Amino acid sequence: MKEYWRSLEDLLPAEEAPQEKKSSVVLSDTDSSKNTRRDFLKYFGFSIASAAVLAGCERPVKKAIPYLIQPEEVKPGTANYYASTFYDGAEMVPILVKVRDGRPIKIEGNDLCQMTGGSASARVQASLLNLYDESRPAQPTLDGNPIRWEDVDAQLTETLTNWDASKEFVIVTSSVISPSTKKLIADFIAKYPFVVHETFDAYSYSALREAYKQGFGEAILPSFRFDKAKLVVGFNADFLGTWLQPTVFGRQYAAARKLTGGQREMMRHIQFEPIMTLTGSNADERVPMPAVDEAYYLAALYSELAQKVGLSVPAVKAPEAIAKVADELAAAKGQSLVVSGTNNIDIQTLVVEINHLLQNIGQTVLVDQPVNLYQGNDKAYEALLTRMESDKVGAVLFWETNPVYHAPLQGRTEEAIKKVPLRIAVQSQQTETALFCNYQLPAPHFLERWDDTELVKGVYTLMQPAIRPLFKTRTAQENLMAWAGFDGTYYDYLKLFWKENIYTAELAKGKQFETFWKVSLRDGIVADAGKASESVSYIGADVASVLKVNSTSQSGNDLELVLYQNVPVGDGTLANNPWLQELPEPVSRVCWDNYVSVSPAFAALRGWTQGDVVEVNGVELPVLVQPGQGRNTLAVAVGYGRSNAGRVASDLGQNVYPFVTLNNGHRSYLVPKVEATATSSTYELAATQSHHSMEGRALVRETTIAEYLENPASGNEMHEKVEKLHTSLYHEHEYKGHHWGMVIDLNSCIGCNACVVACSAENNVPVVGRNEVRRSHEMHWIRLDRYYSGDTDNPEVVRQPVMCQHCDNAPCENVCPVAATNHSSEGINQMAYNRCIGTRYCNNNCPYKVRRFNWYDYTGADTIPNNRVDVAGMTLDLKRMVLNPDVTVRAKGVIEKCSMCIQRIQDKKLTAKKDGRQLADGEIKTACQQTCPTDAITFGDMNDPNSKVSQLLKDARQYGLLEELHTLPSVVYLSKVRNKDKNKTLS
Amino acid sequence: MVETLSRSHGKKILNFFALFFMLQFFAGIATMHAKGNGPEPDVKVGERLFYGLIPTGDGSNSCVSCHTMYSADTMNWNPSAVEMAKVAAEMDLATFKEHLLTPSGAMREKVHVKYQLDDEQLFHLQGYLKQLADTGIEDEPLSINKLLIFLLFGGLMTFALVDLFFTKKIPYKAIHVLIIIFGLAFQLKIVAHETIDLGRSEGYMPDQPIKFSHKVHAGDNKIDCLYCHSNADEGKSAGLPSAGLCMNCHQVVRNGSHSGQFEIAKVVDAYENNKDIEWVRIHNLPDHVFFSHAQHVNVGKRECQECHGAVEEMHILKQEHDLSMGWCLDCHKETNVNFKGNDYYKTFEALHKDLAEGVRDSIQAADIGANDCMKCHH
Repeated sequence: MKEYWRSLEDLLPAEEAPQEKKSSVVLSDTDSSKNTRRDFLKYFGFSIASAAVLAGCERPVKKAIPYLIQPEEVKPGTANYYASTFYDGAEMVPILVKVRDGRPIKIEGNDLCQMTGGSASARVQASLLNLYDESRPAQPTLDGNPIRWEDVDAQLTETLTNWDASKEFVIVTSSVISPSTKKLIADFIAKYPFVVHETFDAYSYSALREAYKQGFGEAILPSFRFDKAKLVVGFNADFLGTWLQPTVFGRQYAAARKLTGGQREMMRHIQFEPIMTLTGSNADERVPMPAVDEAYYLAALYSELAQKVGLSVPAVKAPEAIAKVADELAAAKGQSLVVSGTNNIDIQTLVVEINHLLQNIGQTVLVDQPVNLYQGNDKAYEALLTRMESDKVGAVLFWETNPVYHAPLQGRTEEAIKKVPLRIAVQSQQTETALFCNYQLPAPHFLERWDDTELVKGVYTLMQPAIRPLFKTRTAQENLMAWAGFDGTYYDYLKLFWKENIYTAELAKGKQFETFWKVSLRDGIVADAGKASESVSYIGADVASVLKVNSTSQSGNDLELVLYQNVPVGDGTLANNPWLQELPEPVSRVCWDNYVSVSPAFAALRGWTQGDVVEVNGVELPVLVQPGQGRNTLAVAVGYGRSNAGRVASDLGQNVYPFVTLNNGHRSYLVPKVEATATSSTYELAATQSHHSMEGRALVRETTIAEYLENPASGNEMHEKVEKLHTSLYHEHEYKGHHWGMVIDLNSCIGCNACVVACSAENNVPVVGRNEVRRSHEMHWIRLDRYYSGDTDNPEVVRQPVMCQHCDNAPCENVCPVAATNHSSEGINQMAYNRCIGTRYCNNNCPYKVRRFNWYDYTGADTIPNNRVDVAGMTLDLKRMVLNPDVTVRAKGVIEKCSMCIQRIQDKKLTAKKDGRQLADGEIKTACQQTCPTDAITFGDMNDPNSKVSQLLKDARQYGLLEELHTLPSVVYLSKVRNKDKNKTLS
Repeated sequence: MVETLSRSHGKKILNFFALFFMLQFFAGIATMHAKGNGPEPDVKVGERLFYGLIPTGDGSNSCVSCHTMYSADTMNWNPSAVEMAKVAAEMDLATFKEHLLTPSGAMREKVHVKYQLDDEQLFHLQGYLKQLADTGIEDEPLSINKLLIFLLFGGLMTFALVDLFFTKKIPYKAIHVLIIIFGLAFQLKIVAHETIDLGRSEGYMPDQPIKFSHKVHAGDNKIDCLYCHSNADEGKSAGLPSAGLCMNCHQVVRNGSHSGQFEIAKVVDAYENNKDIEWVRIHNLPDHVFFSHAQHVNVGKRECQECHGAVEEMHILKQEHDLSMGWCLDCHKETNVNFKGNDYYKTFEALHKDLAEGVRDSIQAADIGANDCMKCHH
């Protein structure tokens, strides 16, 4: 059994372990010390008095107001699902929106989409809460004063009609993936020829497109197929967390690595990276690499591979690990994939050439199916800035883009914008850029509007409103239509566009257009398989010169700074979202802040410990010691430090986008040389890392593929031993009907945390805020424990989703003095909130530490104001609209925990009963299972021998968490398998 | 929960007083102001006319005898005093006179025909009605309730104690003891009952904005419950019919057998003028209880009356049962599951075996987990 460690403190002898740091910053979220004993007595007396008064009182009168005319599909208390599409300028995921009594309350992936298989990422799940964001712009303004839409239209139409044609009117959008919007912009330009359309991405991947332009003549973004690869080598690409299409890639990745259903082979994943990313922590082998040396490593790899096929290229002396990887790659020609996430043209060119050398083009890199994401070109953006600076631009319209925040370029963006006479912002959320704009025009949230997308050629999806606009908003498309004098609404335009361009004979399949439209709207997705190919051919870039420039290692003693997107917040566009801010970063387990992560060796050298505040090139940030990070690498997440984002995200963490510079015309997220100095202050990060520690026990069990193939139970030998000792003093439960169980495949779970947000949305899990997390009061019903093992410089990482294990011999049930938690006839450990008196005995007795106590009122369930801790506006009426009416909103003083989504179980059971049929296996999906991109979670009836859960329970890898305690959990784990040779490692 | 209710209640009382004083104040100003201008109706005379203290014709009933002030347990089909006052307040005197003395409509023709009121009386009467429409009616006077009895016993017991130790007027100590025991027992009983009934409202039958009679619709006209409450078959909530659904019949039926045109006109008005009908909700469950009508009506094949009582006999709808958890659980223990009629229950193989082997002759809802906490408390 390996020795795992949870955090660096674990490795130190007990007396050396640092004392927990207290923040020197004034804790401003809440002052919970206001509740004194005196208050308690006051309220105690008050409640007795009021009980006496109540005895003589009647209940308040409740009104029931029916519709005047009932819409056909709306039934009170019954949810409808509408197909739509999530797109935030970065990721695109087809979704289903659950609408209950007129309110969208949950987003789920659209299972008709083959790419995502009905899964969704944490950000897709959380984007729902942005709809109910009270900080959303609600009213059009001109220079800060409210203005009516009619006046906006009149003024801007006049401006456009009397335009001086020597100046440009620039529309800056994020990547437009909507074909109808593209046509609308083209129509607008046709009407006003001086209009110029520019694309600006919040986070830039423009070097990737340019590399394909050099290699294949077209600036495309190919489709990547991780599922077709037997060997994936990643260079600083967090493709499971943030890079391009993480939901799709996560799904492909897990599919290629699953060992269930008789699969005996699994893809091997090697990751070279300067910082510990989610992807790197999943790799079979991970090699820390200085970020400045990435081009050198790739040059060496290219050189090695080229020599193997007999090409004469300048030799580059390869690091040891690269030479070994080159051998492996050469052996997996056409079945491998090399990717890099760095926005650097040399690096991306090398990656394209390597994949070409390995004959991966057409196999794992589909250049004939380009993806329409990230169309932005940094060079074009810089040219725009130059035109603005030289007064060639008369007006600029920022359409859901925020360059002042995302690409300040040392203040250049700001100065250039100031030189433009007319500045317009069309935005669904507050942005820093809008502060520089004359017209601030509010746009609807994506759940309030119509749109369409074409992600890959021939794959169309629709976006439809699930609720009427909450504020006085109008889409950018409708603005353009109004200013150009086009008739009708954007809906009409969209529908006509579909009729004329997408409604083809192949897709129509004999249907009339109206039928076709309705079916498309119902499904949300239309795929034209015949259309999905485009011919591009290899022309080859000038590799020799790239090799020459990058033939030596650049790393020395300088400190380098890597700016990365973290999994919860990403590029910061959706930052004003309490669910995302509360979500712990999967590797560091820190939430509500960004920080500078440093390697343990470097921290030791400087004498820094976690929580010291240091100054990095003038920005003060708390230190997080991150095992596995490059020796001289510092890393800070972008997306924080928003100055104008709304109530939640403003002034949270530090903004490091100002460190982004242009390198060869592309935005570079690497600062090769920084200064870092200690300050005298400290800051307590809100980390869930050392919470719920279950140390020294075989919680996560793992083996290697070779051992697994020899003995499927390898690494899990303990299970058999424990099973032999299976005996109990307790009477065993008898399950006459269903017996619900869950199987979690640790080999599939990549730790993306989508389940955590899905669970929060489904089960009204409260948001507690930074201070409460510091006090270990976080409320998530499911958490992803992360354990390290081995060397601190390059540890192995495992993670494990843990929720209530629904034990048959539940330790919590025995100790509840009021029987608020007990066992159901279907094997669920049930929790009756209204019976709970808050002794927390159950919490104390739970070996898994999955029970959560409501220390305060976080969601507005009780009315005593001093009970309330609400840092994110979750008790506002507007935000409470997101609450699921099928789940009780818990008040202060009660315990809560995973219920296995009992409301979903009840719902599907009732459907089956109404149909007079037995429940089908897989019909009930828990929220975590539904959203899981990797299908790591399976839920079902263990009493049904044919159910998938029962099948998985026969797997030799299965074991219960802390099964030696004989709690007989209903949640079962399948051990992790690594595709590596125990005795041979790369580094 | 307790705090919530009482707090909002306390606020309401405060608000009520504030409103009351404001009204008094404004009324005072209004009267002072009004005295200067033109003829003023003598509201007192109007009130006396309304209550029949001034005769209005041979053998005619007073206005208030039909247009009552307070709701009663039995349905009064006539428009209530306030409702009628609101209509009258809108009219000019001539229209008012026409409506009152030469009415159209079956009921009014019969009853109003004997009225003899001169113009001055009509003026005063309308003045009173206008005032009534403005102020509404005062709260129903308090009847002696349990609290008073409770306090009375408290007083008696105090007296007994004082006499026992100090005054010693009553010679036999047994009397003191009896009074105290009896008083304590009675008080405990009241406290126990009141506490158990907290938040329960068995027998609740509030006035509704429209005098809708379930007896007329479901009883006399035998309209199926599910015609209006169709969602009971499908969803958690039984749902209230939309005004549009009412109009399916009332497009034609404009004259009620009991209520005449007055009540039906309200539905038509709401439908045609986009006004909400604010029904008073009778059957309320706490927010932490999730009840599904579909489970009971569609799957369990329960009759609506089992929980709601003989609705088809109620003019005024009344909450028949206390809807307490014990009441739910008891029913689950007694109610047989239609085990063979629904394939869903094939999952319960062991119980089917028991039935086949004759170990038991029926399966109750509680046997298949109907009484699990989380079936209703998610």
